[in-house]
Amino acid sequence: MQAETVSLTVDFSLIIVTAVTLSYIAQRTGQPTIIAYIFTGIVLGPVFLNVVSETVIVDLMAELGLGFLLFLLGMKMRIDDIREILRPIINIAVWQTILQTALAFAVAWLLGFTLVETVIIALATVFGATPIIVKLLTDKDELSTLPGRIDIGVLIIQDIYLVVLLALLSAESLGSTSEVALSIGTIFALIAGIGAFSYISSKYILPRLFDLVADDQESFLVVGIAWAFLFIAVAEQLDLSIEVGAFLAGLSLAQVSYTSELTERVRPLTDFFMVVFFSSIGLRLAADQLFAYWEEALIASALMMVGNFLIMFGLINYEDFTPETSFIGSINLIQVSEFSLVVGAIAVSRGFVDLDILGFLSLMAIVTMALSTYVINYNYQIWSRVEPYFARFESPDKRDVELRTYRDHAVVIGYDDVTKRVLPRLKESYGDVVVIDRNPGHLEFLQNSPYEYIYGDFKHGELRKAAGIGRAAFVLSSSVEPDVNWTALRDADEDALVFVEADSKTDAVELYRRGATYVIISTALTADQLAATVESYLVDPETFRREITRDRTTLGGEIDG
Amino acid sequence: MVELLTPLATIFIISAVFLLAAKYVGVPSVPVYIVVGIVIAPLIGRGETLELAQFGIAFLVFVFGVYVEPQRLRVVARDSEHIAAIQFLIVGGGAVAGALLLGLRPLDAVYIGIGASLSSSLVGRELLGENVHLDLVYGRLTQSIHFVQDLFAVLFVLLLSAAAFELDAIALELGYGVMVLIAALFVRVYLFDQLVRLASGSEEVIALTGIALLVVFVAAAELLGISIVVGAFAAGAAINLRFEDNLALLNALDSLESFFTAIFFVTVGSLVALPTVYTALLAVGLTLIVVLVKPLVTIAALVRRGYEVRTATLTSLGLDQVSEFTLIIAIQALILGRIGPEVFDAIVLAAAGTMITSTVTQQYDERLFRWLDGWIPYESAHERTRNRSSVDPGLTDHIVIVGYGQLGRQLVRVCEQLERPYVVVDHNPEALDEIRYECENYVFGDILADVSREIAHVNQAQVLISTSPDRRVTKHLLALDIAPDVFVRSRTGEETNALYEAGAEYVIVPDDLAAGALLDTLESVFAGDIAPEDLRRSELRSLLKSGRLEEG
Repeated sequence: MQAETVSLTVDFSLIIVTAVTLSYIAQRTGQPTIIAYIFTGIVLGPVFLNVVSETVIVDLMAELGLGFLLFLLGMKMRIDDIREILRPIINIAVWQTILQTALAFAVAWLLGFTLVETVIIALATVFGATPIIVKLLTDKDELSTLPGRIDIGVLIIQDIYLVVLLALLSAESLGSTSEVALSIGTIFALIAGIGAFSYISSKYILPRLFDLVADDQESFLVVGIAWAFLFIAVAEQLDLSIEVGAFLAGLSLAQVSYTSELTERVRPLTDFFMVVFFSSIGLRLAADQLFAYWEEALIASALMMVGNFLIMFGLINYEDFTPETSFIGSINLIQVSEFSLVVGAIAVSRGFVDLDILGFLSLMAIVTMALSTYVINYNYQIWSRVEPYFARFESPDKRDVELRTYRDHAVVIGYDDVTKRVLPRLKESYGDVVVIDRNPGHLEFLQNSPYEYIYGDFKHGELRKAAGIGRAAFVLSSSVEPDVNWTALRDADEDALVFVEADSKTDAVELYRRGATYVIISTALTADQLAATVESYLVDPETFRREITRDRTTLGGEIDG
Repeated sequence: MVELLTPLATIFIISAVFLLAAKYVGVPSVPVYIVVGIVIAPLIGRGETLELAQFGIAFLVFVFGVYVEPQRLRVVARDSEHIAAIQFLIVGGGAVAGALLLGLRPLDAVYIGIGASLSSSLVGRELLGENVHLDLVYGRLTQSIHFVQDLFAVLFVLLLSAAAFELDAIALELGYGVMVLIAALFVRVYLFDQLVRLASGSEEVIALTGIALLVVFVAAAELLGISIVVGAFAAGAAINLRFEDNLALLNALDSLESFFTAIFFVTVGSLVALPTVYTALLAVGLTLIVVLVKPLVTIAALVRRGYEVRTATLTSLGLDQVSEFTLIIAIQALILGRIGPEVFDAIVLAAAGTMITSTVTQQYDERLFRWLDGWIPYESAHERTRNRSSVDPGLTDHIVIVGYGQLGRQLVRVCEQLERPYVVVDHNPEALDEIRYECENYVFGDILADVSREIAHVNQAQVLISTSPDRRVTKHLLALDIAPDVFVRSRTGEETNALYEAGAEYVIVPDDLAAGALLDTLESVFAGDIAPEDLRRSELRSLLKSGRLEEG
C-alpha cells in the first residue's frame, strides 16, 4: 500500500506517452496538438484500449487545465491590441453570436435533437477555437494583420460570452424562466463585483505586488498562480464556476506590464494540464457514445462550417472592409471550438444532456478543427483561387483600416548601459524600436520612453514573435549567453543586421559563424582600452589626467541630464 | 470542486503571502514553503498532497539531471570533490557517531549524517544572487561543491531505497540503477535528437517530449522497484541540451519545477508534527552541526588546500544549510517506513531553520570573516602567504595588479613592454601555476589581507589596479588608507561616479567601452563605409588571426 503512494500513477504516464506520440503525428500532418490530445483519450479510453480510467490526479489536472486555460485567456485580453477596430469588432461579434446561435439551433433542431439538447448544442458551438487560431496565425505571422486582429477581437468578445455561459450553466437552479433570469442577474452582479475588484487591483495592488517579486522567477510565478487561485476560491464560494474565477483573475492582470512574462511562465503549465484535460474528454466517451450521432455530426459540421463562413463574411463585409479581409477573417473562424467540449462536459455533469451529446460535440470539434487547420494554413492560397467570384463585393467605399505593425524595425534585447546609449540612434534610423527586457527596475522608465516595450524574457518564443524579430531590420542583443544569441540569429531575417555580445573570443567566433554582423566582446575591449589608459598614465600622466577630467565631466553631465 | 483543488489553492495563496513578506528580509523560497507547510498543515491535512509532491521530487531531480552535462563535469572547480568528501567523512561521520552515542537506531543515525553533510544548491543559488554570474573564486567553489554533493545525493538515494539492507538487495538495486542510467545514455546518444526532430520545432511538443521521457523513466524505475529519484535523474541525463530549441524545453521545465516544488516543500512542512522535546533537541543538535561544525571543518579543509581564509570563509558560509536532497531522501524513507517520525521531523525543522540562518550568515559573511579572523590560528596562514609569494624586497614605485584574468594579463604585458616593475596579487589556486611561470613578482594572497599588501609593498607602489568585478572588494580597497593611486572596475555607469567620489584615480567601465565601440561600428555601417557582410568577415578573420583564443 505504501508503494502505491509513491507512484506517479501509471495512468498518467500512459496519457503523456500516448499524447506525445500522437502529437508527433499531428505535427507531421500539420494538425493542432489539441486533436492529438482528444485522440489520446479516445485511444486509451473505453472506445479503444480501455486501459486508463480517470483518477483523482487525472481529474485534478484536467480541472487545473481548464482553469489555467481561462486564466491565460484572461491575461491575453489586451484592449490595446484591438483598440483601432473596436467598434466594428463589437458589431461583428454581437451579431455573429446571435446569428450563429440561431443557425446552430436550426441545424440541431432539424437533425432531430430534443429541445434541451438543441439549446446546449446551439450554445456550445458558437465559439471559434481561440488556441488553435492564435497558434496557427502566430506561426504564420498573421496575428497582427487586419483579418487576424478582427478574428482575435471577435474571439475576445466570444470569450466574455463564454464566461457568462459557464457561470449560467453551473448555477444552482435553472428550472424556470424566472430562475434563469435571476441566475443571470446574480451572475452579472457577482461578475461585476469581482470585475470591479480586479479593476481596482490592476491599478493599485498588482503592479506593487509584482514589483516585489519580479526579480525572482520562482516567486513571480507562485504569486501569479496564487492570484488565479484566489479568484477561483472566491468564485467557488459564490457558486460561480472556477473557470469564471480564473478568467477574471487573468483579466485583472491583462493590462499590467508584467503580464507578458507571466503569460509565458504560466503557458507551459497550461499546456501540460491541457494534455490531461483534453484526454479526459476522450476518456469519458464510450464508442457508442462517440459514434451515437456520427451522421448528424458530419452533417452539422458541414452545415456549420459553410454557415459560419457566410455569416462572418457578411458581417465583416457589412463593416466595409475589403473582400479579401472579409474572406480571410471569416474563413479562419469556421471551426467549432474546444469550448464546445467544455460547455458540453459541464452540461453533462449537470445532467442537462447525456454523454451521447458530448460525443456528438467531440466529433464535430475534431472534424471541424482538423479541416479548418488546413483551411487556415492555406487561407491566402484559397483566396487567390476564388478571388474572381468575390469581385461583386468590391466597391470604392470599402477600405481596410491601416494597422500599425512592426516591420523593418529594430529589436533590442536587454536594456543596459550598452544598449541604452544606442537606442536613440536606432530610433532615428529605424523608427520603431522594440525593447525586450526583464529587469523590473527598468519597467517604469521604459514604459514612459519613446520605445515599444515588452516586459519579459527573450527566451520565450511567443515574446520573440510579439516583437516581430523575424521582420526586424536590426537586432541588438546585450546578452552574453550563447543560447540567447544563437536564438536571435536563428529567428532574425537573413538580411537583418544582428549585433550581439560575447564573453569570450571562442563564443564570438561561433557567433560570427552563425551569421552575426558584429560581436561586441566587452572583456577584450576593456582589456585593450585599459592597457592604453594605463600606458598613458605611466608614460604621459598629463594627458591621462586631462582625459580623466573630461570623462568625469561628461559622466556628471549625463547624470544631471 | 475536485477534492484536491482546495488544498492546492490554500498552498499557493498562503505561500504567495509568505513569499511576499519574506522578500523584505531576503529569505529564500524553500524555507518559506516549509514554514507555510507547518503553518497550514491543519488546513490541508497532513500529507494530503503527498501524491502531487511526488511530481515535485521528480521535476526537481529531473531538472538537475538535465543540467548535468558532461562538459560541466569537466569544469568543476578543483578541490570541490575533495571538500565534499571531507564533509561526508568528518561532518557526516561525526554526526552519525554522535547520533549513535545518543542511542538512535543506526539507520536514523545515517539519515542524520546525510542531513549534516549535504548542503542545498537551491538555496545556495538564490543566496549568490547577482554574483552568480561573476566568476568569483568563492562563488564558483560554492556552486561546484553543491553540484558534487548533489551527485553524491543521487547515489545515496539509490543505495538507501534498496528493498532490504542486505548486500544482495543493494547490489541488485545498484545493478538496476546502472541499467536505467545506461538506457538513459542510449536515449541521449541515439534517440533524443530524433524525438526532437519529430516535434518539428513546436515548443509545446518539445516540452511534452521532455515530460514524456521523465514519466517513462520514472515508470521504469517503479517497475524495477528502485527509487523514482533515480528514474528522474536518468531521464534528465537522457536529454542532451545541445539542440536548437532547448530554450523551449528549459522554460517549460522551469515553470513546472517551480509549480511542483512549491507543492513538494509545503507538503514536507505539513508532515511535521508538533515537536516533542526530543525532536526539538535533535533538531537543535543537527542545526548546530550544520551551522557551526560544518563551516569550521570546511574552512580548515579549504585553507589546507591552499585557499585564502576569506575565500574559505565565504565559501563555507554558502554551505551552512541542509540540502533539499536530504528532504527528498527523508521523505522517501518516511514513505518506506525506514526513518523514525521524530528523526524525520527533526531533519525537516533543521532544514527550514538552517536555510534561514544561512541567509543571515550570507548577509553578514564579511563581518563574520573578520570576527573569525581573530579566532582562527592565523599566523600559519600569514606564513604561508609569505612562502608562496615571491617579491623583490627592494621593489618601489611599481604597479600592483590585482587579479590575473584577461585584464590582469594584458596589464602585465603593458608593464613588461614599458619595462616597469609590477607585482601580481591573486588568490585563486587555479591560477597559481601560471602566475608563477609568467610573472616576476607575485603575491599569492588576498589583497584585502594586511599581510598581502605588506608583501606586495603596496605603500611603496605608484599605482594599484584592481581588475576584480566584486563590488565588495572594490569598496573595501577604496576605504583602505593606502599610498598609491587606485584604479578600480565598476559594473554599471551609475556607480562609477560614486567610485570616483570614494577616491578612485580611475574607474574602468567595461559597458561604457562596449557602448562606444558599438556606436562607432554602427555609424560606419549606417554611413555605408563598410558593408555588413565585409564587417562580419573582417572581424571574424581578425579574431581567428589573434591566435590562441582566450576565455573571458
